[in-house]
Amino acid sequence: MVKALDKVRLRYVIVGGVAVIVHGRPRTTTDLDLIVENDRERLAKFLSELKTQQFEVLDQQVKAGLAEGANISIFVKSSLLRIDLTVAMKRDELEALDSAIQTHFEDMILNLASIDQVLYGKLLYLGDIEDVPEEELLEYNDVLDFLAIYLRNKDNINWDLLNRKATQQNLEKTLRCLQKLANKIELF
Amino acid sequence: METTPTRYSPLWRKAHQEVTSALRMRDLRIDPFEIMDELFQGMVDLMRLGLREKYPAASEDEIVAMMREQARIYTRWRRPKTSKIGKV
Repeated sequence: MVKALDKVRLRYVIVGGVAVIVHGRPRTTTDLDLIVENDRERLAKFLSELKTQQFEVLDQQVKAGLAEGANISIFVKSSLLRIDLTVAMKRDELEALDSAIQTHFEDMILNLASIDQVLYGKLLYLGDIEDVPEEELLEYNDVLDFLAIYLRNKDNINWDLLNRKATQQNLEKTLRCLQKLANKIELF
Repeated sequence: METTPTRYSPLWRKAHQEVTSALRMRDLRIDPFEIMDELFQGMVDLMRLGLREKYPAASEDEIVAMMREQARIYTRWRRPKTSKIGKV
């Protein structure tokens, strides 16, 4: 898939569970969340390229996904792995694309969401958690993702960026709450 | 409501184990992506074997559909109602 993206020169960034794993939390996922640039010509070439390989691309789903701005799911044939593709249109998606970092895997170079973008994504997924008891928060996979990535990469986080984005979304309390939780886990 | 973590609380213990795994992998310079890639492949192979044993007459497409359904069940994460995803 990455080779197909590179071949048609479609800019992309890997986000979601795979980005969480690469940034340090060993956990399972069955989908690969991908944000791609809004270049319809290159996107069409990319999807055609996938069809020639081991991917199931349903034209009707692609059409609906593009029209509604929704995810496009692409299955890997004979596997349970799925690619969830989002075409970057919203500001957050464009920022994730622009701030992608490069990482090596086998003989490939992958474009991956930065640590700050992954943590910010977790804040968005969680929303306002002020009234949620701490013990209950630990049941959320997104909270465990945040805690592991935060504690593993504490010295490499761009705090200015994360604080600014949290403030823009009214999520400062969520960020503080998760930091407090992380400190408790560290002292456990 | 705040709680004090104790060694007897399964959720706090699990969260601590999760974080410890991430930190140990960093300190041992183990790539979590490589580990999970292998684990994922192992999980797929095991799932396929199990389903094939249970449904020997099923076609390959049917086996794949059952695998996808099981994976969907296992990865249905819990998320608070206040999530801002889709609202931004």
